[in-house]
Parts: sequence; structure tokens; C-alpha cells
Amino acid sequence: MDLLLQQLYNGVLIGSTYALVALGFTLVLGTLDLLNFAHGETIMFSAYAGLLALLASGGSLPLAMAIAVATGALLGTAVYLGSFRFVSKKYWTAPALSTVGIALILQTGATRLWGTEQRAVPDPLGDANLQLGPISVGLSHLVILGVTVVLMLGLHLLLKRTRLGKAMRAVAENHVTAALLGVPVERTIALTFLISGILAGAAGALTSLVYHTITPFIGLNILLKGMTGMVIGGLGNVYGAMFGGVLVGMLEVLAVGYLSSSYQDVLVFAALIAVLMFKPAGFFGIQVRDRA
Amino acid sequence: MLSVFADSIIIGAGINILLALGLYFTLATGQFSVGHGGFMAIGAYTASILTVNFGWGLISAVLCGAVAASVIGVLIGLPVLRFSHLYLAMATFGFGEIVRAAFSVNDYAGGVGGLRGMQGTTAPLVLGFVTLAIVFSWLHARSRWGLACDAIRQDEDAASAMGIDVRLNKVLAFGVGAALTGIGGGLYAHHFFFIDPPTFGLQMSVAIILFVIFGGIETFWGAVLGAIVLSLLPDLFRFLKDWYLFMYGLLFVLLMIFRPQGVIDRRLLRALRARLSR
Repeated sequence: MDLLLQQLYNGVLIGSTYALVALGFTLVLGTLDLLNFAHGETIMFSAYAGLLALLASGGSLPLAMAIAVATGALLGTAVYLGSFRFVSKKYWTAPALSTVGIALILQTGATRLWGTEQRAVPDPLGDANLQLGPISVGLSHLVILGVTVVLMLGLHLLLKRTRLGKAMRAVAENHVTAALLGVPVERTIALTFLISGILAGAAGALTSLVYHTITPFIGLNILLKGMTGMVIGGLGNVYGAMFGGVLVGMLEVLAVGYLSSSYQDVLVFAALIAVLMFKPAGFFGIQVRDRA
Repeated sequence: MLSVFADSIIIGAGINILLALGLYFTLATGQFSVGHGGFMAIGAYTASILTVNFGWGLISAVLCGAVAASVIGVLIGLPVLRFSHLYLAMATFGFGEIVRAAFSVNDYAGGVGGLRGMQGTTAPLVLGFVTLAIVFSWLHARSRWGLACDAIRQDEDAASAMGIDVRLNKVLAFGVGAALTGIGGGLYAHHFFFIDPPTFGLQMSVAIILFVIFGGIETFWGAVLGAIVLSLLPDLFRFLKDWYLFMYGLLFVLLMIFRPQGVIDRRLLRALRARLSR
């Protein structure tokens, strides 16, 4: 029982970073119907930038987070410019394929810049532990959970309480109508990419804190986990993505705990395919739009 | 008699043409797969297990692998192709990874160590399969089915209003594409003597996409030409070494900005035809 509790807690911890991944991914998908395959590599690249800042500053966590987030925002904007702004809207495959190209550029760039071997991420907060009943809570865990909750709340307020949020929702609903009503569509889209990049940057920093290591090859796996979380929650559904991400984290931890670590990915991706096939609207009951 | 070097270039390009045509059939109905490496893996593993463990002949084993890939393709496509293209893209993305992960944990298929001992792919054999595939694609392009696929690609709702069974045509095209990719996978395994799960990961799927997109998605000749050109590129651009994939990515991005329909489109083909007949 104690072991199960500890594992569920670890699942929530990992899952909250997946939730951030899913959020950034689903924002762009919901607004533009675009699968951003560069999202995972944006996360990886930001994580490296954060690690370098951490090492250079002698262990300043806030600085590392800030650099990671700034890198994410920069790359999010780069994806907008490279894969969307100047790409013809006539071919819907073009922007998605272009993000695949950016993913290749980022991954190869990272292996050239920082090598292919695994890098250890020092924990700037040390091994300080809190014992909450049977669950041991690290200090860095509190940072991870705290940052995740703040970002989720922030996104919620942004979408529901600000003009930009309203514009984003309007553009997601229908570009043409939004433009007719005076919403600056192109600027809103650019800002959506920027916010998605910020979430990716934060996810990168937190992921490296959770796992204590990074390699240039984590992007794809993280993207798939986030995508699974998003699909479970329903495409383009921000709140579903939060829930789905956490669920994926728990699924993964339970697979490692009770089956074997080699089945962890198989199980998560099987969940992705199963949900896509049998419950494509996800678990939040949103009608699947029959878009061509 | 051809030299060994020329032989291996022809075999490599031929296999890539089969892979590219496999994806072309899916793109021809306006759908999009990011997991064709998975179908290639199924074809490769099925054929390899049949030849190595059961002593089958190469041709029958490769065809059997094609059938296996096709069946899985239809099973995936049937439920997912009802929805928008986003669902198929994500399902195939996940599918490619799950196939890779599944072969990694399966000890009978060699696990992470991979399978070895396959052999026998020859240039005439590959060219034979390529010729059949091209003839099939050519007939497809001129058939009612090809017209239906074209209509679906251009406007699904209009096609449906004309009485075309959109879903059936999409699933059929997806199944045929998976079969061709499976053939490519089987021949690939018996050309390189060795396969392991990472061979068929996302990079392979992306390479296949680039073959088709580079050539152009409007006619199957685009897929054929894209596969040939990009098969020769590695030899021409060997000086890029470790930056090769970087340039590949850059090529992707620039291509999407300046020529999203690919290098060969129908206008170019028409212009060529006009010039030739003049």
C-alpha cells in the first residue's frame, strides 16, 4: 500500500510535466489544426539551455528556469516563422511537415553542440526530503508541482479573463469569422506559438529536474507522452490535456512498478492507439469535429 | 555485368521507390502517415522470420510480409480514417513507435539485438518488384479508383456528394500503401543482412515522407523521382558528414516554403509533355 502510494505520487510528479507538454501541444493544435512535431525537440533544446545556465551560474534554479523558458519562447516563435508564417496555407500537410524538418534541425544541432551522450543534471536543491506519511517528498518536487500549478492557473486565467485569451478562443473556433469581427488573427497565432513555446521551455526545465539526466534524444519520447495525454483529454481541450498528462505519468510509473520497465512505452503508446480508435473524442465528451 | 557498387545503388534506390510509392497511395487520398517505418518493420520482420527460421523462398516471404503489413494497415485505418487527418497522423505516429517498442521487447524477433542471417536481394529482383509497382500505380492513376482518390484528395465533401465512398477508398489506399511499404521492408532486410528495431523508427518514416514530398504529391512519378534523387544524395553530399541530417531538416523547411507541392507537379509534367511533343 505504501509502495503504491509512493508510486502514484511519482506518477503525478512525472505526469505534471507531461501535462505541460500536452498543454503546449494542444494550444497550437486547437488554434491551427497543426501538429507541431517540433514541440518535443523544443523541450529538449530548452532543457539543455537551462542545464547550461544552471552549471554556469553555479546552481541558480530561477536563472536556469528563466533561460529555459526564454529558449522555449524563442524556438516557439522560430517554429511560427519557419513552419507557418511563410508556408502556403493551400497545402495543409506543408506546415506539419515543416515542423518535422525543424525537429530534425534541433535534434542534430543538439547532438553537434553538446554530444550524444547522456548529461547529468545536478539537483540545486540537494537531497532535502519531507516525509509526508508514507510518501517522501523532495524539495525539487515542490518546485515542479508548484511551477506546474502556477502555469496551469496562469493559462486558465489567460484564456478566460484576457482579451488575448478571448482572441485565441475565437481564432480556434473559426479563423474567418474571427478576422471579420476584428480579431488580429495573425498576431494571435504568433502569440499562441510563443505561449506554447513558453510551456515547452518550462516543461524542459522540469523534465530534466524529474529525471536528473538529459540526452538529445528525449524529445520524441516526451512528445509522444504529451500527445497521448492530449488525446486522452480530447483534442484541443486544455483542461483535458492537464488531466490526460497526469494520467499518462501514473500509467507509466505503474507499468514500471508492476510489469517491467521495458513495457512502459509499449503500454503508453497502446493507450494512445486504443483511445484514438475507440474513444477519439477523449474522455471529456467533446464532439469530434469531422474536419476534412 | 554491373559492378557491386552500381548493384547496391540500384537496389537501394529501388527499395526507396517501393517505400515512397507505399506512402504515395496514402497521400493520394489526402491522408498523411508519420509511421510508415512501422509497416516497413512488419514487412521486414515477417519476411526475415519466414526465410531464416522456416526456410521459405525470398519472394513468397516478402509477399507474405506485404500481406501482414497490409492487414495491420487496414485494421489501423478502418477506425481512425473516419475522422480528420489529424487522427491518422497521430495514430500512425504512435503506431510507428509502438511497433519499434514491441519488436524491442519480443525475444523471438531478436529483441534489441535485432535479426541477422537474411540474404538474397538482387538487383533484378528489386527492379522486378519496382516495375510491377510502377505499372500498378500507372493503372491506378488511370482507373476509376484513381480518379476517386484524386477527388477525395481535392475535396472530400464534394467527392462524397458525387457518390464516392470516401472511407472505403481511403482504407483501401492505405492498405495497398502498407503492402508496398512492407515489400520494401522485406527487400531491405534481405539486402542489408541485418535489422533491428531502431532501423524503422521515426527517422525512417521521415525519410519516406521526404521522398514523396520532395518529388511531389500530385503524381506518383513525383514519389519515384524523389526516391531516386534522395537515394543518390548521400553519396553526393558525403562531405556534410555529421551535419547531414541537419541539412535534411533545412531542406524540408525550405521546400515547404518555396515549393510545398514538391518538385514535380502536374504543371511541370504538362510542360514537359508539350515540349516533347513539339
